[in-house]
Amino acid sequence: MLEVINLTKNFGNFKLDNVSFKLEPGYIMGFIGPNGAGKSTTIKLIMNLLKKDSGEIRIFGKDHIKHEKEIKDRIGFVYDESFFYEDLSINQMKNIIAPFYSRWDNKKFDQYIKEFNLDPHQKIKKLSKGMKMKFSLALALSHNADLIIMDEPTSGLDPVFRREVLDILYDVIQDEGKSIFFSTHITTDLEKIADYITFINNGKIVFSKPKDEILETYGIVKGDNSLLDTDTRKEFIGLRVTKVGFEGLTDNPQKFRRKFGDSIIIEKPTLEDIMVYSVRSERL
Amino acid sequence: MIALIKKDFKLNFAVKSSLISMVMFVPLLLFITEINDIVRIFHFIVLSYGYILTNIPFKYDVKDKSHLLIQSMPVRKRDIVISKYIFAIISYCIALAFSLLIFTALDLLNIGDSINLSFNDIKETFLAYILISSINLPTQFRLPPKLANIVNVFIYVFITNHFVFIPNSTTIANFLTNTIANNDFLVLIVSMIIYLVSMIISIYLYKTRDLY
Amino acid sequence: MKIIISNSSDEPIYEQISRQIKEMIIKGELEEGEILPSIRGLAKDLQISVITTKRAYEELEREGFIETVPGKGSFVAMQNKELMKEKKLKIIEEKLAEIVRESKMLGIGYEEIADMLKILFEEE
Repeated sequence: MLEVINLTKNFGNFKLDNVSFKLEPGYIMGFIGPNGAGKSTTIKLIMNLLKKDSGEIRIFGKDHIKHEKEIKDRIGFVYDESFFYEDLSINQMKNIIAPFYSRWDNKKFDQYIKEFNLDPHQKIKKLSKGMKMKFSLALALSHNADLIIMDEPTSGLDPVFRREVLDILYDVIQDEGKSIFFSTHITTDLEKIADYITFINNGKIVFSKPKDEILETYGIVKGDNSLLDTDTRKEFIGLRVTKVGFEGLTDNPQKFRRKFGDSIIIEKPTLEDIMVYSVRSERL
Repeated sequence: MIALIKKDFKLNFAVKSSLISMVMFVPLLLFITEINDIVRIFHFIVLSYGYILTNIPFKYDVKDKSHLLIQSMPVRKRDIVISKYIFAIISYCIALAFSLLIFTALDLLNIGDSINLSFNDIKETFLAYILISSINLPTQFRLPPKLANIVNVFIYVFITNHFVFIPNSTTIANFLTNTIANNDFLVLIVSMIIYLVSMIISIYLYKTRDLY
Repeated sequence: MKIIISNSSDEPIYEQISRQIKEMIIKGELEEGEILPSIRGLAKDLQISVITTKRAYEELEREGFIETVPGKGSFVAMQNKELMKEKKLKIIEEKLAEIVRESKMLGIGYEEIADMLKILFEEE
């Protein structure tokens, strides 16, 4: 459904370097990475808001520039910032946007607006960030889009609402012809719902794998500092040593279990652990 | 295409604040400047309103970054440019109709000097307007907004000066008035060609631009 | 149908699901031919990813517990009666083995256990 192949863009002091990943219909992919890693840039390149230097992007099997119009008709898009005309009301804004889409469903839109408790006559500049995001979401879901792309949609929103958003995404994904691509640095949201995780850091893809596989392959190893020597240190992707012991991320926890048996604790990592340790080790 | 034109329409007329600033703008300018010739005033009003109507949507793009929103919808960049060029002409027609309305009203109410508008006046304003837009629009599509604004204000002032403020003795105004009087068909064709060329340039400029 | 997963357990989530469904089938709580929730519906209810539920169902299908009909859903497969009985007996055997271990540890002899068993059966 969404295929990015060797995407490259040079910005002078930042480079998006050979970014590749693939998302099949019916699944949710989480796109994680620290701030400035290239998430928004990648999404803007996918949507052709920025010109790529090289690489291929295919959506619904078609080139994203040659068939730009028909592809965007089927994409529901949610930005992290609001790019609406602030002086207009929700209804006025909707009336500007709706005619662009061939499969616009006004009933659905009204339903979502009602469900989200939004006042259709309210001016957009009076809406809070959360309400603007809900409006964006309502728009993205009201034209029968097959691919939903979201760029940090939940940053700045309270956990209660973030859960609501997840519930809505679950409903969307009940249709196995639809996919969701979702960039965020709030990894707890993805922990539950994501099928695939693509991790980007410094413009490069670190991995793009099924979430279950990631959480099973990586492990957090905790133990006493006496167990560390140059060889063991090499096995860690990221390591944190304190006066009272060490804690590190490894992609081979079984090796540690075999070597140290019960003298260490191995825990399931969270996506946040993986991200933090990977980024920190790069910075060293 | 129609959706794009409608959007620009709504931005101009659906929002109270832009309506008010529009209605207030020209009387304010007239207040400041001193034009005695009613024909000149007419030219000035038509050009100014046409210019404002065309540029308000661009201002919104700058303020709300809405061009990013538009670009993420199913539209071709080419269509965006073409719709703006069409809308510029529509703006001119609205400005013209509006001005004619005002002047007819003033005439009927016997306020001020009676105005004798000839068809030539309309042709002159149309020509001036096409020239302004042919430079104005490409700058909006290419230059960063602040720079585009500065350039456009210069163009606007320059051309309106020559058509409105400076009396007939300047060569450019003379040349144009004479040319129009004698070969208006030719002038029309040439100006439309200039307009079309400007549109093609704009399409190219906009397509090759990165939108942040 | 009841499935409860634990995020903090060491057991992978897909295994927790397939195990619990297996148990329900063996105990007869899920009958032959009964339809299971869809992969996506289950993912939504449990708030987990679709791939996880898919994996659980695939394992159950591989072991012959369920059958998936494309377009219709997943159903409890016709169970081999002998196999079922064997599986049930195995569960009982494991539980009895544990009782025997406990009894020996506590110093309780076979006669006492047999008596207890008799009383419990009679209570039924």
